[in-house]
Amino acid sequence: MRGVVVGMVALLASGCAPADTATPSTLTPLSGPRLARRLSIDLRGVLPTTSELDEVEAHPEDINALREQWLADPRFEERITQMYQERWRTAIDSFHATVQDYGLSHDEDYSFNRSVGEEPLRLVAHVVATDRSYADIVTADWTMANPMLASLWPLDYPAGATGWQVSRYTDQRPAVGVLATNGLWWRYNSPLFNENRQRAAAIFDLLVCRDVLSRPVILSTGLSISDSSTTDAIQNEPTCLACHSSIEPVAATLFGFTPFDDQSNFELQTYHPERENMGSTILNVTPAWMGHPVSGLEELGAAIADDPRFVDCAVQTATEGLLRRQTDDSDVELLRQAREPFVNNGLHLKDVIRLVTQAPAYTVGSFATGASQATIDRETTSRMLVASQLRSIDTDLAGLDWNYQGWDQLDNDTHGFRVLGGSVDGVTLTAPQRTPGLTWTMTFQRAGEESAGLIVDRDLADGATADLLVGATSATTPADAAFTTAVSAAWWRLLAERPSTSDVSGLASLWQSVVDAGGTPRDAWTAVVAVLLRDPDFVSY
Amino acid sequence: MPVITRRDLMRLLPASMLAGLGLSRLARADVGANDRKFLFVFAQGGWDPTWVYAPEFDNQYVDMPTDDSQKVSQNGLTWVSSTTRPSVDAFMSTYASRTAIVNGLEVRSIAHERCRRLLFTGGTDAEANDFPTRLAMGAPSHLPLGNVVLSGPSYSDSTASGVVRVGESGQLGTLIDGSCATGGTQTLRVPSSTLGAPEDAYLLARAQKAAGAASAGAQSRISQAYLTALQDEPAVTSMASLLTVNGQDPLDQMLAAVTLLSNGASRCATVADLGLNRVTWDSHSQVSIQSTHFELLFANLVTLMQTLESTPGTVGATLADEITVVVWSEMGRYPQLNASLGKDHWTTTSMMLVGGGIRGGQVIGGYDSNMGGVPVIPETGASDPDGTSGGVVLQPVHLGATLLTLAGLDPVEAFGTDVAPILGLLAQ
Amino acid sequence: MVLGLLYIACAPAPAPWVDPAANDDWSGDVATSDHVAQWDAAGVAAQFATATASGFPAPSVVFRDYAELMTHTEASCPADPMGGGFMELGGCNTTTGYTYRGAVGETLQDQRVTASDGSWTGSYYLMFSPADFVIIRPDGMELDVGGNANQQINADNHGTNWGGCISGTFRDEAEGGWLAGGFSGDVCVTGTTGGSATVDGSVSIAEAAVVYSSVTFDPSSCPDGATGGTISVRQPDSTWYVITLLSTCGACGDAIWDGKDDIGQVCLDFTTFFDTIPDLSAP
Repeated sequence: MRGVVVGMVALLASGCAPADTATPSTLTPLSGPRLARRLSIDLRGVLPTTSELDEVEAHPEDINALREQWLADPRFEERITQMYQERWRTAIDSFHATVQDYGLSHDEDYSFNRSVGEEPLRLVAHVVATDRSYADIVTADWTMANPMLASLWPLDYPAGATGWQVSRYTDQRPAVGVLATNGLWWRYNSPLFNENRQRAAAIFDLLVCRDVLSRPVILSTGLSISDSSTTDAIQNEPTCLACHSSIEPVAATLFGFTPFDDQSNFELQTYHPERENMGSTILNVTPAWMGHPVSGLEELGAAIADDPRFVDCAVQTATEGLLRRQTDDSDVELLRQAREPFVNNGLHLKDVIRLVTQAPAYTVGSFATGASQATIDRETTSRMLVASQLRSIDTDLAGLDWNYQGWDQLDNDTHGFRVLGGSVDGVTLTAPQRTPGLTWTMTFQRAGEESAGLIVDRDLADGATADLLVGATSATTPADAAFTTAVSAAWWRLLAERPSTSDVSGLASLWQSVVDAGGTPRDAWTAVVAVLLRDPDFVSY
Repeated sequence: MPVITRRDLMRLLPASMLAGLGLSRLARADVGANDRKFLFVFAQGGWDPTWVYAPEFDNQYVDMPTDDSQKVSQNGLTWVSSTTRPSVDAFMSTYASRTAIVNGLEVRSIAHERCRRLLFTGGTDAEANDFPTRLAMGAPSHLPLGNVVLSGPSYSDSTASGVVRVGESGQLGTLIDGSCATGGTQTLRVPSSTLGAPEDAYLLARAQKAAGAASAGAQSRISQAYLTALQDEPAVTSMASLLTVNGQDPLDQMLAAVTLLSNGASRCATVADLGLNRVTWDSHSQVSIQSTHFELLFANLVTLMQTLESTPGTVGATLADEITVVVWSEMGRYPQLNASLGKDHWTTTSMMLVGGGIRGGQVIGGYDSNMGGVPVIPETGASDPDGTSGGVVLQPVHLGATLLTLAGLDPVEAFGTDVAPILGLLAQ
Repeated sequence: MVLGLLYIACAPAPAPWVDPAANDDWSGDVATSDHVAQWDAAGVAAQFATATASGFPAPSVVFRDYAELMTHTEASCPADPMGGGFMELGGCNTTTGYTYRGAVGETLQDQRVTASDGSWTGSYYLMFSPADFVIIRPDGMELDVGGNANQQINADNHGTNWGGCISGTFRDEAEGGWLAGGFSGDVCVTGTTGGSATVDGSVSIAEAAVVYSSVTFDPSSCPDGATGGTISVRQPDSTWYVITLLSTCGACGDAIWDGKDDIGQVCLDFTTFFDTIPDLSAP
């Protein structure tokens, strides 16, 4: 009896997998190592180490402990930044204020634009990674800044620090987290005539997942361009009120960010407290959040934090980021289950991530007999890597540093291959690519070829201890047992699968083919690693 | 790699096409639906139809251009003519028989990002595929560059594999030829074709195996699309020069698109026009700049049509018989000037269809007294101002259905039975 | 029993969903503000003084500053004249060490006719639009401008009407007064020489923000006070004190904080505004 009880307690402690009312029995999970690979990519942006794969292969239940380790990994914060970029889309390649405005050289274009665009994302990521209440993203009196931003904006960045640090604006802007960041409002700008309506729409979209801009604007017979009431239509015309009754009161709280010149860096970088009350006058509304009056932006942040839809949206955003698809009615139960610990434990988004990454919808690798077509079409049994993920993986594996005139080529669209490699550009492409295409394939090819070269040069250098090609030296050929050891180790590490004998011999044939074609052993080894970095099981997860 | 401008290539093209393709000048043949190709020219930012398409001089509540603009009708077209926009007159008078103007298209949003999606996909669904991609994926045989986006928006979800973006700086060409490898702190390794061939062969075999073993759903979609892309790579590599478009000049891009469409590599192409100095058409102040924007656009369109009409088609007499040019913008502009002498956003706009398969010499739709869209009877294209004869207010989805019909694809499958194609736009 | 409890804990069937939003009573949910009035009447007056001590924003001050800095230009810098101003988006440097960067359009319509006694009639209009630029002196001090400014004066035998607006962000470390610390806001002043003046708009100087709503002055009859309107003074937590000035001449008015707390009479010092009238009413 005691043993049974202890066993059951152990089962509980390992985390009960949440139920999936959408026929969970038809969702077959990935193998332990492949699941670990998926989880590591999603939580850390890198592949599991060989020892981690070995551990999960031997003890699949150890993935729970690994999950906890990875949630605490410093790279988790970076991953959340990328996850939110795919949803908030602030990391664009140009803003109205430019490096030219600040007298900086064009070499700093990328650094400047990314710093600006990532500010709100890093605030969110820091809240999530440090187990703060998610409500802090709209109530915090701090932001995240790096030396670039600190040199340009009114920020009290820690003296002597480097990288992204908690900082505070010094221009009297209210304590409303991301709602007080230049990065968010430079991305979702609002020229004077727009009167902050676009920003209000962004608040609805990003924080409570209500895309008011997608509602149809039908200027029907009730509206006449001959009538002066046209200008009052947004307050009187039912067609307009459907959106504007919510938008205007929120927009009225944002006038401290209104620029009189929306191209001026001086106007854009500083909060303007004297303009706070303009909104009520110009828009002729009382500031409010969904019908409940607020006195200003700070109360708006608090009202949003108290809105159940804010919680729902956080859960939805994280869930969709992990499942790599939009949620729909079939996910209601999963979202409800993910919401419970989130709400009950102080709004720590890690609780949502913990639960979702245990759900069948996340762990699914294939379908059992009886899966409906709808299930087959919906569930992401496989996801393709996109440029932002490839960047972190190849940097970790190989030290890839693919840049052009200061632009990270897997993280920009101006000169590089972010969108061509399947990621989001923030303006036109609002979701990651979900099926491979030509440009994606070529992007992965170039990155893979270069990374392979870097790995080979590192691992097979004289006296080096190989990290990926374990046991191989520059003299190793397919005739050597060390070849099998090395390629098997690489296959395992990169694909989270054990290669078969034919898999190994296939790579051996490739190696030899390159040499026969006139290549050096280095060329041959590079080809072997390159094809692994382009393998269907590498580029998907 | 030497840079060949699009203009150079087009001067050479007729002879090179004949030589390369081994074709003699064909007698005119009917262009079938399967042979249709499409070039989308997107005026980004929201143009003001009152400068060209909408001669609303009789509407006292519409601020028309204050230059010497006047209403002109010729060969079935009616437009706003001005000596400051001679290219508009030149285009309309020369290509009227191939041109249909559509007025009163209701996009039903006034937010740029949403309007772009509405225009290109017919809806706001984030997972919807745009018309060019649908057309490309509906081609009778697989095209490695089905839908080429030289510039401008593109929306695809399940058919992302059918879209090829050239990149803001035309960087796709550098990806293909490997020149993307240089200029950074690391010089990327680009294997020679000889040494790369074993890699490619191995990878192809792996991809084929993966596609064959893939389980249904996402795994199958991804592995199959990856295999297709790998199979397409050699053909695309040989077309690297065609995909290396230097600069952002819209005419260069249009002509590059023509080359891609005419040599069978693509079915659709998209080019964005950002107007004078690339300030976009979003004229919230000084709307008079639209005059220059339109003049530049139509000058390019004249050159484009000259090229299409002087270049033999693969099936039709000329490319102008095969390629349908869609010229549109994501929104219109409010009928009245604002305090900055500009015009703000408006949900109703105009567009133009030119060339292959289009019944030219007509203006379809119109603007009512409130600058809303006048209903149109889909079967005939006739206006139905009272809406009592089965007319519908045109939305982008109707244009999408029309284009799919023109391409021999089923619009019902794409948009359902409630969306009728505007058959009145199509030539018999 | 324990097994049963453990089984229930892992049971796949979830509890019925209860929508927390079903309860539409927000009164207990929305966080109530914990803000309080930080200042008494004297404190409010002091805050107003902080915003105004360095002077009242006048477009002519910016125009004169700019004009002086433009005397240091060279043929090649700035090389691209634009609408009376310049456009040097990437910036340029003169041989004497001045840097011009940005864009400014200057419109001047000066149709004054000067009489022998130096007085003039006619109209004068000067506008900066756009104005998004920085001019850096050799010593590193710079004029930063983002916004627009205009000034208009009309004089005839009936009198002189003047007005001006300044909107945006303006700063010049080398100048004294309000420009040195930096101005942000949107304020317009109209008036008649020898007659009344009206101020509307917002001003933020030295981290003190003030809003003028139709505040009227009549220096000849009311040399120290205002003759109507409201003035709002901002507390750092974004709450405001609204001071309603008497329509009879005076510098005091009743102040309400955050729309609810009456903190009594606040008396304000308008000296710097009166001192600025010459700058507002002359080129």
